[in-house]
Formats: sequence, structure tokens, C-alpha cells
Amino acid sequence: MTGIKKYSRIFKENRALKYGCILLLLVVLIAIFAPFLETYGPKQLSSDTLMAPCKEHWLGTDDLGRDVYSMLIEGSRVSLTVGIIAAAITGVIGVLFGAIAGYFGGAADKIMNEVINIFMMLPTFFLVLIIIALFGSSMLNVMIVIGLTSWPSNARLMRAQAMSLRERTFVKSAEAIGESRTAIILRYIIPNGIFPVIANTTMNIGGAILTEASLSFLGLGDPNVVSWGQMINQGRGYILNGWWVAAFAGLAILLIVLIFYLIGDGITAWMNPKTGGKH
Amino acid sequence: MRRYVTKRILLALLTVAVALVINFLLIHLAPGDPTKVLAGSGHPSPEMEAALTVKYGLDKPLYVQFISYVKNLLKGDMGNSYVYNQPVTKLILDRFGPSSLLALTSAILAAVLGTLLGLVTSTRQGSRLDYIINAVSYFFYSMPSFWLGMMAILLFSTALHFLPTSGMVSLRASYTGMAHVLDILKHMVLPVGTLTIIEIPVYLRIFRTSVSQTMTEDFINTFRAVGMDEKTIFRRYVLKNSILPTITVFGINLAYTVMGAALIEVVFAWPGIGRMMLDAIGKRDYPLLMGIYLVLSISVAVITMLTDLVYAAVDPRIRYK
Repeated sequence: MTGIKKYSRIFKENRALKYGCILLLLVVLIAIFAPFLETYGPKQLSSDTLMAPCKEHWLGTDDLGRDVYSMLIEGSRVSLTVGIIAAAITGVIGVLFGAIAGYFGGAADKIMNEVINIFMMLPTFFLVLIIIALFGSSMLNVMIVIGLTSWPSNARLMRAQAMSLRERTFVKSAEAIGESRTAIILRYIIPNGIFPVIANTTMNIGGAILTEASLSFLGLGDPNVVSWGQMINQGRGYILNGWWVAAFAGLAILLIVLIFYLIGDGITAWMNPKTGGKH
Repeated sequence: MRRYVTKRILLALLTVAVALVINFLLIHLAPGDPTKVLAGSGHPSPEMEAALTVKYGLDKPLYVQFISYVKNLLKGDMGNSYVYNQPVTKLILDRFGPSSLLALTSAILAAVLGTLLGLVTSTRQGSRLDYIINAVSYFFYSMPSFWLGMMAILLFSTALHFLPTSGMVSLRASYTGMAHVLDILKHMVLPVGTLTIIEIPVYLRIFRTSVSQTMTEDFINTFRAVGMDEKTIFRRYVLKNSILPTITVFGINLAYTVMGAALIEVVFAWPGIGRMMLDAIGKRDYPLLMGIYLVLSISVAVITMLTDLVYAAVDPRIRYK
């Protein structure tokens, strides 16, 4: 089968992947063209406070008279940035840590594996929370801290892959012709074992977005940006007379996290020979 | 078995030790002076600074400081909360009960209901029911717990009035005995319900994956080959083997349930650790925040260890490995 045909078949049989990708494209376009889609400035205050959804304000206004629809559009940028960068950090650390542990084996692996186990057991969210409270809640801090604390699941996957790849003939022959260990890990182990990590990292994007939203909900969001978690936090104060502020922001989080879970599951199903790529 | 138990206990101890080291490092790496972090206030008085310096040996080398930090913790002294002006240990102990009531009840409910739903769907794979349950579980899996809680409040305070939407007891009525228990149960419905709904998909997914993995095992095919009926295979062999991962996930997932519970406590004004944490964040009460982190790390380590031991008791393959 030629390239395009092959891929169109994958999408046809894998509904999770198909809908996930279509929706993601849509959200990415919204984030890129945010300034053109917003009907008001997302931080623009007005005297129309807590207005219910109407013709002028499609999704109503918040307690400071800001347009909820425009804030939602602007918030997509924060969620995508935080999610993707934090998850990318978990991907890089997890892959390197897992590949080294799994490929070298022996005492190094034993220690590294226990390190993974210990970090899996620590309550990550509360650690993130303390660090952000101590070091300040800029978006950059939030991304880095989430990334630095959520890598163990990736490391565990990569380690399992490296352990099985290390016994394969092509790795053995690379060793026999005297390639360095660094080269073997970078050229053979990582490229051949990275697929489960990619699926998991996609899921991690969803997880990171939820973590950022939870932090913002607790008042630890970056005060300089408009984020969906902060909108829910704000809306909590007047949930009964201004439900639209929190309700729509929550729906937006739900949608974007769902997209990444669908894609992650779709990739897993696609790679699994037993299900034949259907999902 | 004994070797496995020793290993698990050591791992739990090590985890707690790592949590201690992280906490200690954070006090010293945080911007500003360690006394400010330990006092929990930006401007501690000179007397307080002097007292803290003596107590934690802040003028001595780092490893001596660590030893005195651990010594204080072993005495059950996690410092004083600046906001509540009370020992952190007492504050946390006072709220531990309500918090664990919420977290454990919903964790158990979610595990049972999620596994049951998993059972229903995995015996009818590809049916319409399977499709609907699966789609719904995706939604709840992606939902922020605190948002679902807020929507529940919206629904129950505007449309349905029969459930209380905040607190743990009715403040105006002072019930005793059975009435008191019923009152708490009534207040538990919404927060526990919200948490359970959020957690169910986790167990549903684990069980489904586990069933489909067991189904492809060779011994199942052997049973088919000898002509055993599909239902008997499922009941006798697939089920037993598929339930095992649920036990492990229960332990790991508890850490997430505790986090979810903290957020839900904030939403429903439940008088637990989560709500206290919100105050601590707002006023930057670091000793209290760190105390909460330590207690949670210890609780999660202990519970994960216990579930692993249960797992080993149930599955001989683990303990003999």
C-alpha cells in the first residue's frame, strides 16, 4: 500500500485516533488564530458584570465584565502550551532514564528501577503544589515542575522496551562491530522502543492540563495569563448567579483533555497487533 | 514470602525518606532565608528567628541541619502553623478523620462499581451497551473533579433541594447518636458521589484491558481447544486472573484519590485537610503545606505497601518471583 492510502485506512478503522486528530487540529487552529476569533479583548473590563449569555456576549460575562467567550478562546493557548511542554519534558527525561536503565541492566538498573518506583509512589500533585507555592506561579514554573515530577510512567515503559530490545540481533550485531553504548542507545534502542512512550506522553498532555487547571483552581495559577482553571476558580464564588463562567471553562478543559486521551488510546490501539489497529 | 515483605517495607521506608529529603531541600532551595520558610511568615521577629536557628541548627553544616530536622519530625514536631498559630501535627491529625472518610469511601466505591461495570462491558464487547458505557467513561475520565462538584452544587441547590451542598454536619441542628450519623451520611452523598464518578473510569479501563489481555493467553486457548464452554472459561479462569491488576491500581490510585478529595473538599466546604490546604496556600503557610505533603506521602506509602502485600497473598506468582 502506498503512504496516503495506508494512513487513510488507519484513520478509517481507528475512530479514537480519527476524531482525536480532527478535534486537535481544530483547537490548534483556534489557539493560533485566537486574536481574530475573540469578539472582545480577553482582559478587557467593562461595566456589564455577570451578564448571562446573550447576543453581545455569546457566553456571558464574568464579575469584572470580561467576555467569557473571548477568555475561553485565549485560554486555549495556555492549556495547549502548558500541556505540550510539560509532557515533552516528561518524554525526554523518561526516555533517557528508562533507556539507560533498561539497556545497561545490572546494579545500575536495580537502583534506577527503585528510583522509578519511589517516584511513582510520591503524591506528585502535592509536590507540584508546594514547589509552585514556594517558587512562584509563573507559567514557566508550572510547566517545568509538572514535567520534572511526572516522568516515571514514561521511564517505566521505556525501560521495559530497552530490556527486550537489548536481546535482539540487530542490537547484538551493533555491539559486535564495536559501536559505542551511547550510539546504540540513541540509534537503536530509543527509535525502536519509543512508540509506547509517545502514546503515554500524549496522555500526559491531558494529565498536565488537568494539573494546571487544578493548581489554578486552588489559586496557584499564573496571574498574568487567562486560564480555564482560573475561570473556574473565579466562577466558584458566584456559581449560583453566574454559572456560565465556571461551566463553559470546565467544558473546555473536558474537551481538550478528552482529545489527548482519545489520541493516546488511538495510538496504543494502532500499535497493538492483536487488535489490528481498530479502536 | 518473607523476603518479599521485607523488600516492600524497605521500599516504603525509602519512599518516606525521599519525601523527607525533598522537603528539606525545598526549605533550603526556596527563594529567601530558610527561617522565613520555617516560620511561614515573610517577616519573622528576631526572637523567632533565633529560636528557629537553635531548633533546626541553621548555623551548623547542612548534614547536621538535616539530622536535627529529622529528629524534630520523629518527635512528631512538624513546626507551627503561622495562620492557625497551632502545631502542624495537631492541625493535620484533627482533620485526618474527615479527609480519609471521604477519600477511602469513594476509593472503595469506585473500585467496586468500576470493576462491576468492567465486568458488564467485557462480557458484551462490541454491543451497544459496551459502546455507551465506554464513551461515557471517556468523558468522566477527562473531567476536572472540582468542576463536576460545582455542577452538582448548581443542580442540587437550584433544582433538587433534598441534599446538602456544603459542610459535613448541619450547623443549626445539633444531632446526636443515629441522627448525627445520618446527617453526616447525607452530607457525604454529593462529595463522595462526585469523587466516585471521577474515579470509576480508571477501574473500568484497567479491568477491561486486563480481561482482553487474559483472553489472549495460551491457557485460555487450550481450554477452548478441549471444548470448554466460553462462559465457564470466563467465570472460572479469566475473571480470577483479570482482577489482580485492579488491586495494584487501587494502591497507586489512592494517591490520586487523595488529591481529588482535597479539591472536592474545597468545593463542598468539607472540613478536611484539603480545605485547610487552601487557607495555607492563600496565606503561604509553608510549615503547614509541608506537613500535609509529608503526612500524605507517608499514608500513600503505607497503603501502597499494604495493597502490594495483599496482592502477594492472593497471587503466588508475585511472592515466589
